Amino acid sequence: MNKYVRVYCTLIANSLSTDIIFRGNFVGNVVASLASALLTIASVVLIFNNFQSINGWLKHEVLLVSSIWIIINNISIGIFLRGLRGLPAFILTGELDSYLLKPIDAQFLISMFSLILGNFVTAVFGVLTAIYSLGYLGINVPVTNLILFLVMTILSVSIFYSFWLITVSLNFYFNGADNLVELAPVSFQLGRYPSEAYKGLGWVVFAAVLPWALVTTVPAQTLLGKVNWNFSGLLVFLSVILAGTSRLFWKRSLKKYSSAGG
Amino acid sequence: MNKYVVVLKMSFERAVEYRFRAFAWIIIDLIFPTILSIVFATVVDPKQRIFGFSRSDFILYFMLVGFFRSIVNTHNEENVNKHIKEGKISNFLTKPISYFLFSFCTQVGWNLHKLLLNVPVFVLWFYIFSRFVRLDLEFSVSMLALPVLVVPALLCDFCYTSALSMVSFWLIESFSVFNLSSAVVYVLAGSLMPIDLLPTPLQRLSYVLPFQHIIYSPVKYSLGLLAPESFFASLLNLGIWSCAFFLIYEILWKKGLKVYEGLGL
Repeated sequence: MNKYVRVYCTLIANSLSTDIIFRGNFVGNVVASLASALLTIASVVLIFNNFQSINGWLKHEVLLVSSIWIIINNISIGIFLRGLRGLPAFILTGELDSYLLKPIDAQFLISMFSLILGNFVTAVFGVLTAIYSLGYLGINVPVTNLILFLVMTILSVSIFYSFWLITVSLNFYFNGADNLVELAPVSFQLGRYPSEAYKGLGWVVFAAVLPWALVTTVPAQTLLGKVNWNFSGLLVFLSVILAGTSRLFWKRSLKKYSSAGG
Repeated sequence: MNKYVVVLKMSFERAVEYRFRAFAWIIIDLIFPTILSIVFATVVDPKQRIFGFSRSDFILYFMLVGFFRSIVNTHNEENVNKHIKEGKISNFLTKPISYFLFSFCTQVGWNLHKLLLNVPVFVLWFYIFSRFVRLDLEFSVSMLALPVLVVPALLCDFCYTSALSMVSFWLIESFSVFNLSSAVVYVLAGSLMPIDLLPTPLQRLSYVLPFQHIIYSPVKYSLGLLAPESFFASLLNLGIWSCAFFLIYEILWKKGLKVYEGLGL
């Protein structure tokens, strides 16, 4: 375990040096991810310019959900994107060999390979908009709920990562499908709005989008003081199941790796 | 056979070879329009009209935006950036072929394949949302505008992304510029929300720029919510901007080649 902590600290130090050397790129990442976050906020504002509520959720409550979406999305992208984005090319070129031969778990090394620090700045922006929304709603969050929120956020990041790993691992089966790395972040956009927003289409679709919507709705409910224990339990269950499934899928997919390169 | 037809054919064949990749792009492109369709199906009252849009219009709008975007959006800037970064532009400088036309035919081949893959996805999408959508004869006739506007919209988008891609000569890691541009274009093209829902200054800006004529106007026209004059105004706007972007591309291409080192990374 100690070894993993030391390796991860080294990887973080490497990411920091990269961003210090390529400062322009860092600023660019901040601007681009902030623009995406602003689009999220803008879409909520535009909807509420014309509607009173989304199935009972008021403007600043939905804004809180979107802020949590910004936080979870940017933390996950900041930690995992650079590493997972490289995987399709490693499979195609046979470069994955060098990761498999190292005396450390390959899934860990690839997933945590490099941080994108610009996204963490945007996550802070998400925190600020969440604080603004809570302030507007006049809600003082008790410490217990805040701790619960942090736990839920970690579980949500875990769900995001597990789904992401599964979709990227499909590259072991389908050559040239490098764009699958986009699928998880794009699907996660379902979490921009509270789960109740999707009830209009009926329970079949609602159930399909439920995991994504839960990932942001449950932490938001915790901050709003409306903890839904059934949904919270479901979130814990989903994170455990998906973490196990993604690990098994990764192991199984590695068996398809031919190391041939191209 | 004309060399550019060969390029188009090869690009199409490559797209067929990597069909799973193309299919994944279609799904990725359709996720956000689907989310908005579901949200609007939930929030809009069936009898309500907002800026002339009924609930059915909103759902059809987002569906057609997803469909149309996937056909006319080109992302040429990413390919050009890769070619400059890897020094591959040198290959084109020695060949008797125009890089601009080569890139255009490559994009058309790829988008043609996406169009074919889009049809069954569109039908499935339509089936899922059928109970919210009301079609009439007027809509069916207006839909004919979409194929007419595909070519000018695709050409204008291609000229824009080509002009934008020229920053790669000076800024090798230019993806953040591209991402920022995508975000701005996304709003001004009406992909985030119909332009009518945007604040007035943005609406005015969007009318002058070409982006709303690439996505929003064709889609709104096909819904029967725009007057016929707007159709010709869009065509004119797309024509003028295509020429302007092409000129910018030509100027920057010549200047860029002077700083291009052809080393590759």
